[in-house]
Amino acid sequence: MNLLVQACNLTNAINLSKIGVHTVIVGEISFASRLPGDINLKEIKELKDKGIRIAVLVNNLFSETELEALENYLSELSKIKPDSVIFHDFAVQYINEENNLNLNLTYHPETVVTSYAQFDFYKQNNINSVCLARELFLSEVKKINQNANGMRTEVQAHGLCFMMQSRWNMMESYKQYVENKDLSFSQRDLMLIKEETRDLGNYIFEDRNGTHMFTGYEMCTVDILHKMKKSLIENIRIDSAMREADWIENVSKIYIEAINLLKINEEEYILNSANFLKRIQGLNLKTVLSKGFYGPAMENLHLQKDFKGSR
Amino acid sequence: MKQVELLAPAGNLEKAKLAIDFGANAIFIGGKIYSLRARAANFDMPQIKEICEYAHSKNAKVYVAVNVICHNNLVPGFPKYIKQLEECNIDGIISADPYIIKTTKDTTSVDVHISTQQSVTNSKAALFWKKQGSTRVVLAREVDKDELKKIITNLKGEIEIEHFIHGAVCISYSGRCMMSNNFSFRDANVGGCAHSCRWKFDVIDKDNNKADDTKFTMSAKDNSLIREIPEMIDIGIDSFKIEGRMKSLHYVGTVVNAYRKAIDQYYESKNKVVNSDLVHEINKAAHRDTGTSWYHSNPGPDQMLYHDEEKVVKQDFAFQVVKEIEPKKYLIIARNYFEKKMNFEIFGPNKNSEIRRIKILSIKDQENNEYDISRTPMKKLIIETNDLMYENDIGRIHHLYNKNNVKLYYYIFWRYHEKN
Repeated sequence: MNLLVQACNLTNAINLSKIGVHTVIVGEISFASRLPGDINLKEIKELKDKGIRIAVLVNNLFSETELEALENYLSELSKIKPDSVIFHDFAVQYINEENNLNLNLTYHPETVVTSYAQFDFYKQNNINSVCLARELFLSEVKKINQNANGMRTEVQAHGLCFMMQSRWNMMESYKQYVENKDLSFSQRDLMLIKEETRDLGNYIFEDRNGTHMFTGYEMCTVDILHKMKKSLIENIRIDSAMREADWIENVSKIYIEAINLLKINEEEYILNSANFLKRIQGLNLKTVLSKGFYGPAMENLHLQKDFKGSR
Repeated sequence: MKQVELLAPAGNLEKAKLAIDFGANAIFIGGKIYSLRARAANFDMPQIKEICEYAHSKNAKVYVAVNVICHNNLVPGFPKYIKQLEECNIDGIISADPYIIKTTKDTTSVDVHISTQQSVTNSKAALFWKKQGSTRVVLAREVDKDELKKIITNLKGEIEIEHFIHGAVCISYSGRCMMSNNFSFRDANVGGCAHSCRWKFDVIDKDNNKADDTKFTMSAKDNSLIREIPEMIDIGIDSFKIEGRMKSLHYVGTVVNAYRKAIDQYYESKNKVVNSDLVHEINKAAHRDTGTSWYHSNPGPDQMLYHDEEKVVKQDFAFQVVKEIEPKKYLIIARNYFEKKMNFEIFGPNKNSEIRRIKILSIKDQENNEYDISRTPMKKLIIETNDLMYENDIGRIHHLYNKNNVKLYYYIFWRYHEKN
């Protein structure tokens, strides 16, 4: 099982590689959304020169006026030869083919890869790797992987889960509407919106790419990696939006330990799984953990109207 | 010169025929499966065949929304479904699922239009879809006027562009919203949207305190671009799309009628100012306040519905004319409550017809019993009027407005004068 982790800066990326992360995910806000920090082309080259496996996130939906910059960026990336470019907008695929950039592409639209039947389409377009939607049950993931026919698949294993992106500057509009200049909705502000009848809120922030909404719980699968393995999951990812370097490294260390134990002794891993979970809980003082759609229905904490979470 | 297509929504057969009669060049419908808007009545195969025959007889087109994103369990049934659609002689499907798109291209000759669920925001993405064999892209709702111009210039006509001009707005990039799925286990990408964006939320800071007493919502005003029609025609958009397969017959008739007139008037007169009567007309079918969404770029708080009460759906749609029995005597089908003494506006599918005002002189049922009030929707009645109407005309209660633009129901006005 390979662990991919989103890094927040150059040092963090190097540290993640040192502790055994298979692939470090990096990018910059002009071309990528929901990363915990910017890592520019020069730094990406530096990481690559150190022999670190790098996936560059280029998951914005691009407006017509941004295409020229995107073409230049992809062209520069092709010189660095990252191990993968993770994209959302099919303009990236088109530019890659049009200019013979030979970038290895991973399709990551957040939500819409929901069946194995899509894979022939991607292969036909030289896309050999996809990130599956989060809103799939493990049985669905298993069936997708059983029918993957050579397609590489990846799932989120840990972190706050994406729920919605809007191009609208909704938080800025709200600030103007309530005439409250003190309100701030950057990634670091950890603001929530909470529906009136529910106890668990949703993290939300706004940046130059619009408004981004997340679950109020942190997805955590460190104690069910054996079940994920049975679902033929080989690539798992830690999403680090709204998180700091220490958290990213500490969570990654626990996952690597768990993955390694699972690899050599599954029974021992199962015996220790509760302990792995407890250690993760120790890192999360405020945010409740959940298995999201990989757990029983009760784990979908946003469904619950009487849930007594910490926030 | 190729004229822009007016594309109307149709939730059922009746609305589909009405949309075509009122001037839509094309309609989009949903089948019983593989279509979002699961709560619309939608069409079974015989109805799809029937509406295709009807549309083609009037030089109109029928596109079928096959816009779910399949999970594994929906995959096996699709090849048979798309073959059945092809046999109905549809003019295209609207889809976002790569599996559906590829299967349709590989196994049928049906045109594929890329749904707004794919959130296409630039010309390179549009060209990607052209390369897959698609003939049209429905752009993301988030594309503004300047971007539209640039996209169409850069595409040089290589693929058709369809754009939303009217209707409800998704606040999220389409297809990228998992609120409904997380809040309700209802997957918006298979037709289960719970409209969670219209809910009210508290804003909570990191110390778990309310950051402001005012509720937050993501509810946006509906889009209405009737004033922008001349400019949008000049930009070179191929198809103007009206949203609303869940909306009423009255909505379809009113909105299609107004946009048809705005489009025709511009082609005829080249006058860039849209008749204000048409703007007023559109508002009669509005369910919420309307704005221009992304058209004039980055919408601010004035395009949101923070604490404005959403308009109650008005029951102004009084009746529809089934047929003329004799001049000024008609068989109608009642749609909502109305009274004989009210004033009515009549409009219909005849493109040259203006909105007329009429009075009802008598209301009778088919057993010749006379009434002053029609209380039963869908009841067939015979009415006599002071002026002519035509088959398929829509009768709507005519309201008066005071100087503050507050609607006064005619009968209140009438009663006041009668008393005094």
